[in-house]
Amino acid sequence: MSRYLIRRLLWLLVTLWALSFLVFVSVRLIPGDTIDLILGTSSILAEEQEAALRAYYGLDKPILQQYVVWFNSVLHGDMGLSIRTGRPVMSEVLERFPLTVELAVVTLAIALPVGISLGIASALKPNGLVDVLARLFSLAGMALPNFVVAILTILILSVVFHWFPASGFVPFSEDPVQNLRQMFFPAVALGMSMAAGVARMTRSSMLEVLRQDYVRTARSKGLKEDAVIVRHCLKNALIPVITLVGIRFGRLLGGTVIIEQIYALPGVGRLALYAIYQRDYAMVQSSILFIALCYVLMNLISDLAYAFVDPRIRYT
Amino acid sequence: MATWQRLLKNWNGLGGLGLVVLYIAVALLSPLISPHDPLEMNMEALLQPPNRQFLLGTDDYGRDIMSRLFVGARSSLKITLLAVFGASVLGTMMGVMSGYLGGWIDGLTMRLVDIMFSFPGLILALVIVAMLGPSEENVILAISIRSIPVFARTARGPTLSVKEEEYVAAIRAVGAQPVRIILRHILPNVMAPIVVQVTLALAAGVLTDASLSFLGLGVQPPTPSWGSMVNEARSNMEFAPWTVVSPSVCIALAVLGFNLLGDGLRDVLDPRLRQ
Repeated sequence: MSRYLIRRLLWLLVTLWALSFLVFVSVRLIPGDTIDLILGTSSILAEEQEAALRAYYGLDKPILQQYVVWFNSVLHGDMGLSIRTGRPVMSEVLERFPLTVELAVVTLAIALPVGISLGIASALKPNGLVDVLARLFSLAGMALPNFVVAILTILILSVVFHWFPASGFVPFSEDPVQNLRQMFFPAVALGMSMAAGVARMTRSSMLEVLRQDYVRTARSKGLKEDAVIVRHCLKNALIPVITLVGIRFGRLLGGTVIIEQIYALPGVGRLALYAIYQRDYAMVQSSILFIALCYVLMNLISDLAYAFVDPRIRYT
Repeated sequence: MATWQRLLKNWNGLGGLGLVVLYIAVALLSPLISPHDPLEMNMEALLQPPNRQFLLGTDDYGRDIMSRLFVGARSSLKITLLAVFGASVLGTMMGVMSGYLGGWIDGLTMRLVDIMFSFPGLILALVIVAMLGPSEENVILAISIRSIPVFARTARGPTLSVKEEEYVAAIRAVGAQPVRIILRHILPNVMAPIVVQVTLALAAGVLTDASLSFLGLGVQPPTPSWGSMVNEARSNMEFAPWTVVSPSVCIALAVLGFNLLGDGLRDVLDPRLRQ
């Protein structure tokens, strides 16, 4: 088990390094760098001054050399300055990352129980009312993009219930109740497709587990149905669901970019989006790397959970 | 022929096929069936609800929503088909080569595929489009690059199992060339999961395209695209909900169609393979 863990951690480091290189190079391939964008089409500065500005930020050196310089400073904890705001990139990302992490956690906290319960209820009475409704929900969840769910939710709430999203974000430390209230609808919009996928996978997985002989044995032993399901079926049925959640988490993180934009939440996703719009290299790199790190970590967690739950994996 | 019949008997396949055919028909015929010019602004008919003249209403520039939806269908279909077609060819080739040749080539390719998977999909597409500029071609490239690892992985599995079969060893012993082995024996087994994956990738492609144009990084205005129509409608949502609902429903139906078709194909194709 520990060998597996060590191997996965090493692989995580390699992946992160490769990602950092890819992001670094691709961001710098964007035509027109930050200096161009700041100066715009007007020629306020003379050529030499523009060149001096570029040299100051190290933008005139070859890409590989820039990468080595950047990587070196990252190892010292310095992710560079945002060329737009002049503030350290690290502090901007760290300010916003709790919100994005909270959004992801709240989303999972809503989507997973909903999806799993729907899946189990579906499997227990195939083709019953709950099953049909759950399958419709799954189809809708998979087909509707998260921004559509977000907008339709806002539309229904504002037109039918005359409820408008609160302006100004309240951090959790200030007012937990208000904060969670603000998080609820973004989390629903973000989590719907996850819940739909989880419900589907749980349903098919449960159906397969319920067909197994050991379930028949448990029932014929006289165990109550609840005990059969919880003690014998659930753990096995959830194995593929864990893998699915790990894979789908990436889509969830990508979705934070859109959802944070729609609900005006100051998170890392929105930071990354605006950094891309503004060609703020250091910011783009760090925020995207941060998002990728979250995804890779989540995959590691789900792999470990998978190895923990399925003893067959542990010993290979 | 038997596959088609079985697909039509399968509910998922039937529904999916119906929606996909409708989508393709609307996209191909859009210049003929659009009741109005999608770019024409009717200043005296701004934000009109659905009525006899404008069947789905007008937007805040007085443009007919139905015609814009039809042209949007064309744009999203073109983008998605080109992207997924390219990705499926490249990805399948990569997966089959990697699986067949094995050794360090396989190891390296799969590590590359793993790294490509480590990027959340939309983020990768965002960076690519930001890198090269928002345009139709770059959205195609972005969706394509995102889909290639999926096809590579899907193609590799069956390649590995067929490679180990006794008859392949026998053919090799007789002196068959690898190309022949791949074309005649490996590809037919790879086709079924790849076809299913194509439909699912098409669904994902429509979603990615809509998301990118929602963020303003897809086809640029005034060319209509479903995602950007949803974005433009946001400011008028409360008193003109039809501007938001119709493009949203279109996106949902297109994605649903491909997903259902993929499910149907999976049901029809896979069990047969197991026999």
